[in-house]
Amino acid sequence: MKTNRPNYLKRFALLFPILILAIFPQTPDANIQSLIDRKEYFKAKDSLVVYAEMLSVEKSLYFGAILDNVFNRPNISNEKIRHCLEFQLSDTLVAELLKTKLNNDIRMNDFKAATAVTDTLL
Amino acid sequence: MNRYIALLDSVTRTDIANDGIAWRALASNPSTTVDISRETTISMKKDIVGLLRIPVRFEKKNMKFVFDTGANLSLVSEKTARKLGVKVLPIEFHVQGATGRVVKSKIGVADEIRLGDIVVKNVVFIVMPDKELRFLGFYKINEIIGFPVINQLKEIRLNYAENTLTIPAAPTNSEEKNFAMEGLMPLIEIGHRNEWLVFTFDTGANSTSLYPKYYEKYAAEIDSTYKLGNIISGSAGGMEKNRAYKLTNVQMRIAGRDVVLPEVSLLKDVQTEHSKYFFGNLGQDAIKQFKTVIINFDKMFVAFE
Repeated sequence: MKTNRPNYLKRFALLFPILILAIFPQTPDANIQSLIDRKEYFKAKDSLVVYAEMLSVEKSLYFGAILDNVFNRPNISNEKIRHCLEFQLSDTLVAELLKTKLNNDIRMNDFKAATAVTDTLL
Repeated sequence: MNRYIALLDSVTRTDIANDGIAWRALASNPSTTVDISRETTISMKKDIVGLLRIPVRFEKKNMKFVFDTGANLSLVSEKTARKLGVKVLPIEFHVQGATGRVVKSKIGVADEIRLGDIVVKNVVFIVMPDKELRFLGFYKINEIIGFPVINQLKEIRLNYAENTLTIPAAPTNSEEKNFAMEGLMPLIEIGHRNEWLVFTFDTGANSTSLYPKYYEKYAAEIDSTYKLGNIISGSAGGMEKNRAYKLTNVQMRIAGRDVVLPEVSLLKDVQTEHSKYFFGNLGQDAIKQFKTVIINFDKMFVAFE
């Protein structure tokens, strides 16, 4: 049923990331990257959910690919890498994604794909 | 020059190039497959250094293999490879053995192995010279079932009271999502003093250890309560002396269960690849407080029963 009442829950959901940013001035990108660099993967996974609306599509795919690898979802990780590589990314990010793909391919025993990634990286 | 190679540090570059020799040799081989038709329970036995060994059947030969989630690949010695008919591929690459020494090794494939009723096809093994697999002068590990096979089992249930390993026909699920993999190192999230701390999780380790990161977090309390001493521990790499505190009655909450460890060594100066990032390593002294530990690689959780 449609009403004219404001949807407070929806408003709060929209404001929540802004409130988080006010409290923690680090950008969502920097926050998640810093957690991944410190290997705080469980916190990074939670942050990715909290900041979902504030990340660009490519950054969301990038962090998702890294964390899906850590949480042993190599096929999903590879799918995100495939999508992510369609965007214009820095060589550093591409290299990270390729290293992650290499690990995913090995985990899935796909040695043909692992060989192809090795050749791309080297 | 490749645009990415300059972005890799020299160790990573060397590792990728070296491992690539093995992947290239395996590229035309069929992938490893696992057929789990029904729940399977296998007897396991702890050997003299506390590693779990399970029976593995190769055609008509049975052999006890170390069951090690921490092994990057399964492994056999050259002699075992010949005995079991593992096809050795004509390449050589370098592998860091358990002693830390880098050893020239080969790669091999077994057409089929059986773990109880479970059939695993096209299993990849590192094939290492026999002399490199002898430790502490008397102990040898000639055969290991490592992570790639264990991962494909999706869920393992280790019952330390009855010394059995059970693989369910279908993996279960849990609300807990407390398990992750740093490369091939299992990680577990543990509740401690109202915080979540991440530990490495080595089912092969007899006891839990705490790392310098734990000390940094609680230094004032540790310094005022405990005295720094030395501990000597043995591993495949030989005997090691470390400065350590002996913490008592360490409380943890793991997988929704409370665990108290009567005595835990805090290795104050230890420097490993993982000690910089994680608070410690969870060992069998914690796991064995329960009848069964469930390690699920599908939904990524560790649970106790």
